[in-house]
Amino acid sequence: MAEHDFFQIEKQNAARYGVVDGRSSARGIQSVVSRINPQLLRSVIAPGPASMWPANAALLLSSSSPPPVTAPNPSIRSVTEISKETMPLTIFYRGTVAVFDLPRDKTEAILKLAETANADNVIGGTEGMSLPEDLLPMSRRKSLRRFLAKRKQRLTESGPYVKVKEVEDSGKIRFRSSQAGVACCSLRPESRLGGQG
Amino acid sequence: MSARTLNRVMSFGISDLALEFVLGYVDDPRDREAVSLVCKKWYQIDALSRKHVTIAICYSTSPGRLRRRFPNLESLQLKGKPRAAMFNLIPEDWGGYVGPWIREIAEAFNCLKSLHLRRMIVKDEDIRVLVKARGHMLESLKLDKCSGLSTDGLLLVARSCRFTGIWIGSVGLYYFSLVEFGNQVFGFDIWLIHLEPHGPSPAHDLFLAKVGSDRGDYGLDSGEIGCLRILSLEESSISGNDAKWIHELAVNNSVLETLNFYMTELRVAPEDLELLAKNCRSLVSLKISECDISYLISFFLIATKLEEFGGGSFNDQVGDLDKYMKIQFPPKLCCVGLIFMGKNEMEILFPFAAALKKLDLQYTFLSTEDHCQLIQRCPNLEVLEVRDVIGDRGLEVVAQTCKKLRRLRIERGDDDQGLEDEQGCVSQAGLSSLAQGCLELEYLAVYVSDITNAALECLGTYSKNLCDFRLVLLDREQRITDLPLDNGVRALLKGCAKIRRFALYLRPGGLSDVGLGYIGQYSNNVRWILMGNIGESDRGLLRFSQGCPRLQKLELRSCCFTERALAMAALRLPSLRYLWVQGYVASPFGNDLLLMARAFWNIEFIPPKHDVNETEDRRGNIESQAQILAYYSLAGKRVDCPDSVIPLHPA
Repeated sequence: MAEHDFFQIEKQNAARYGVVDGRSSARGIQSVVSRINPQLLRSVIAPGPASMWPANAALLLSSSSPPPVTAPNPSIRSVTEISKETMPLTIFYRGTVAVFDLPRDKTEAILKLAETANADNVIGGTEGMSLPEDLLPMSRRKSLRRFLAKRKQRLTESGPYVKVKEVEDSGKIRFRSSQAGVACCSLRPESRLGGQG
Repeated sequence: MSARTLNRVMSFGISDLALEFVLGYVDDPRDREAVSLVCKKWYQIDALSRKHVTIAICYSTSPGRLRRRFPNLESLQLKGKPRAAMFNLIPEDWGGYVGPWIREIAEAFNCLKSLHLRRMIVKDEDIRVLVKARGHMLESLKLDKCSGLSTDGLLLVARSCRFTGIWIGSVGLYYFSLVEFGNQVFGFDIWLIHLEPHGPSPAHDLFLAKVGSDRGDYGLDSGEIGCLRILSLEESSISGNDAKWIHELAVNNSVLETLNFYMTELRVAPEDLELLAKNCRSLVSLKISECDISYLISFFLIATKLEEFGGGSFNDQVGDLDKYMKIQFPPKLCCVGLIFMGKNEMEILFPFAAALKKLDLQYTFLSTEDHCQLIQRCPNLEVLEVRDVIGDRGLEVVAQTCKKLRRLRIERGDDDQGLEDEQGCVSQAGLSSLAQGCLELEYLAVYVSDITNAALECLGTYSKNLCDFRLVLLDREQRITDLPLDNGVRALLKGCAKIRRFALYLRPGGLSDVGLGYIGQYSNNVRWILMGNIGESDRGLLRFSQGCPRLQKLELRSCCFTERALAMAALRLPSLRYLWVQGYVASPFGNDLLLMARAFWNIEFIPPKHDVNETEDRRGNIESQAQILAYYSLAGKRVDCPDSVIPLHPA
């Protein structure tokens, strides 16, 4: 079994997200995987036969609605009929790629498991609810975005207004209104940049 | 029965003239629409006397058709790009060019006094044509979130205000018929202008004549010039660094009442504003771009009639904060929105906080506590706009203090931790307090970090005046207290029967198919709906589309519906005339969309983009997903589509 965490996604998202909602896991995986460099992908899948590659590429890098990627496309299997007994099962999941050599019945069992997991996870209430990464990012009104960008700029540039700030244990900088009335925090507490202009 | 008798029967024995007078009092466009459907005669009378038309999407008809139907229009509002353009989701060159409309206006709409363009592309050349033809009559020009023009165009507007002509005397009452007969009398162009004098002499309704097209400078002795009362450029993208246009406006106009270039990057010189205040004694509303407020001390002393001021800014140089304390605001000022205002600076509002009716704090640096401090002094507040830094605590204060509140907008603050007050989140607690405290609420738009069904039920119970409700669930919290919101949404829609505009933007699991069905079932009055991340499957959408009898405009984002379901829904919704979708399950070759193809239904497709876009929130690259735009049109296929837009039907 080969496992690669390409984008350190596991690390970043371990705290943020729980189990991915089954319904959109396919899309989630799709969007992550579609960003993976095909060359890199090929090197992972290398143990399998070369003929498996084209089918995979088409599956992974298309942007239309995909079938669940946890299941190898039947066409892949038919193309790669190298051994009747075991064949490679490639699973793409949250930025990791795993390749298994499994007998057919085990493969089917896994597929079945994935399907039922899919069906169960439809509306999960609050348990296991997390934010799929593939959701369209929520956009902001232009005027507000401009204001927030300008504010960030002012905060990072103008040192003198920073009056009080605390640094938490985790190193995250907390917020406190300054005496001058500008609510801010400095993202670089030790440096005092000169005023604007 | 003969045709003549039939006509008389249809008009109930009322003469045409009387009918015209009566219909003159019928303003509501829906009533007018009903009137026009009674019979040909009533259609004609409506057509000739219709004063205002709003065209929700400029490609739904053509300038020529508008002119043939309503030749005597006095006021026109045109909208171009889809609403999503305000969120940067529509390519700049998508369309919405005002050129063809301006040319028609210049040629044929002789009564037009008011033009409001929203999300359209307006070029300097268009402005030139407009002011040349209608500058002498234009009372109101609003370029709202438009783009394409520069300060040169503004200069043209400012200069066109200058009125030139000669007196031929004051005649008063018969103006209507003279305008109706046309504008060639003894070789002069004649029109009516209303003048307000500087001094104690009374106002005049005058006939003034312009000699042919010679703009000889005859001048006027009482100093009142121009007819442009309202000039608004809010949130438009206007290039150019020139501030001359404001100076020209101040010099060439003395009847200006409203000037608005809020949220633009236009440069402004304080002296020009002072000149404006001196010359335009009726100035009641001024909203500007960023300009340090301490430079406006003189302006505020001169503009004694000012009721609304927005913009300005507090620059961030440490030192003399007293300079802001020296500002004396005009006595009638009751609508305020100051950019970059901080905790200390907000004290300048305290002396008249009790008189405040409108307050815009979206672009301030106030913390949750600051909001509480300020708002508790504003018992007469009717309109409040804030970011969610106001927090539940601030909403408590609003609920206790602002009993007259009609409109509340709570925008989304910064996602970066540390840049916003840690108390700055709005949740079910704040909403419930608000509902119970502010019973006059008509408009509520809110970004929440957490929500429950109970909070929505509370709104349904108390907010009986709600006409416009928009809720967005932020993705800050991983766990939301109470999802799905099916029951809450149902209670809200059932309880708030007046809702005409409704938006619900959640996350997967936020609303089930059953909940989506509720929206359909209980949205009897709703005209516009925006939904994001709702429903579980096509079943939900189809259930939804069985209801919503009056839904005209539907926007869907980030949904799990297939093209097929979208097409079926579009066909089923009886009043639907506009559909926008981004984020859906595409069919392999995109042809399921054509299931909704029919006469007069334009379908446009914007394919997905795959390049690196500007950073949105915490995401790095955006892969812009495909968009569908469909709308009723009498004008046929668009001829000005850019490459990024593909017309699917008519092909």
